[in-house]
Amino acid sequence: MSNYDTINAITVNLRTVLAGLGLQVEEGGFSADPTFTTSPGCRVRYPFEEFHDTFRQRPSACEARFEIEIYVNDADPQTRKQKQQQWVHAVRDAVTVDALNTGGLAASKLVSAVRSEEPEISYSWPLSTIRYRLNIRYREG
Amino acid sequence: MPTITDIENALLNALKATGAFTVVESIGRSDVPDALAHPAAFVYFVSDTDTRAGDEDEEPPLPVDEVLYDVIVQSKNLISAEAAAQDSYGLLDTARDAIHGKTLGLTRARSFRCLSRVLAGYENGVISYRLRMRTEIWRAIA
Repeated sequence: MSNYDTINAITVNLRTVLAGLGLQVEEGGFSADPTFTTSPGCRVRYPFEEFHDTFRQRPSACEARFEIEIYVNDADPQTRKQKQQQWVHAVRDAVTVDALNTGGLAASKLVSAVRSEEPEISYSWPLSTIRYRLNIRYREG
Repeated sequence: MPTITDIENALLNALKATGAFTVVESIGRSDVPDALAHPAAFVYFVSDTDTRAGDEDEEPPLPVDEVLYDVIVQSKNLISAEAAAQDSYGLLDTARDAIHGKTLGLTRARSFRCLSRVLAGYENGVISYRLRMRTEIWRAIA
């Protein structure tokens, strides 16, 4: 399995996990709830990867950074913070090694670690934007 | 999503509900009143701006329009004891308080803010002030 195949499978699985939480992942569009009032929107970005190359030694590993942006429409200060916290922890609980080693990775189980970095939450009326950064380590095939 | 007319109607209704004005009209949609009575309040739409216009991949996807309206408060001072009791400055406060901090029942709208109150003119005893009101409206993605 090429590394491209692996990172592509990780991306597919990550989107599947997020969609399973009830998020509208952008690849499928936001048509189900274009106002994000009941189904928050979600974009998955892939800003960089690190290659832990070794000299003629295998196996080596790569670490891919993913940034998940979640958009929640709630202007009510009473409930806004709860929803922000709800989605942060829903993502943290759902994106696991086991959840990513499915589909095209079910047999090879190349994902070896998932590490969450501190989420960043901002608010600009009426949307909360949650930026959740993940580092996903996988073995080279 | 409220239209320009919906928002203006909400402003007009809020001003009428104060009972402080003899005339409350839209400048954009109404003829000049036959007899211009005072105190009067006139409303007109100024502008709207898409505050999230930009790179669609980088901006949060829900468009938000900043919408501005002006309210002209016009009064003729000391034409009667009643008018003197409700002077120009009192009318300005009444108009602002009727709108500021309220959504006026509009959906997808942020509470109005009164951004400024500025003298707009003085002629033959008639003094006019302009109150700039701002709200924001979010739109569903097209």
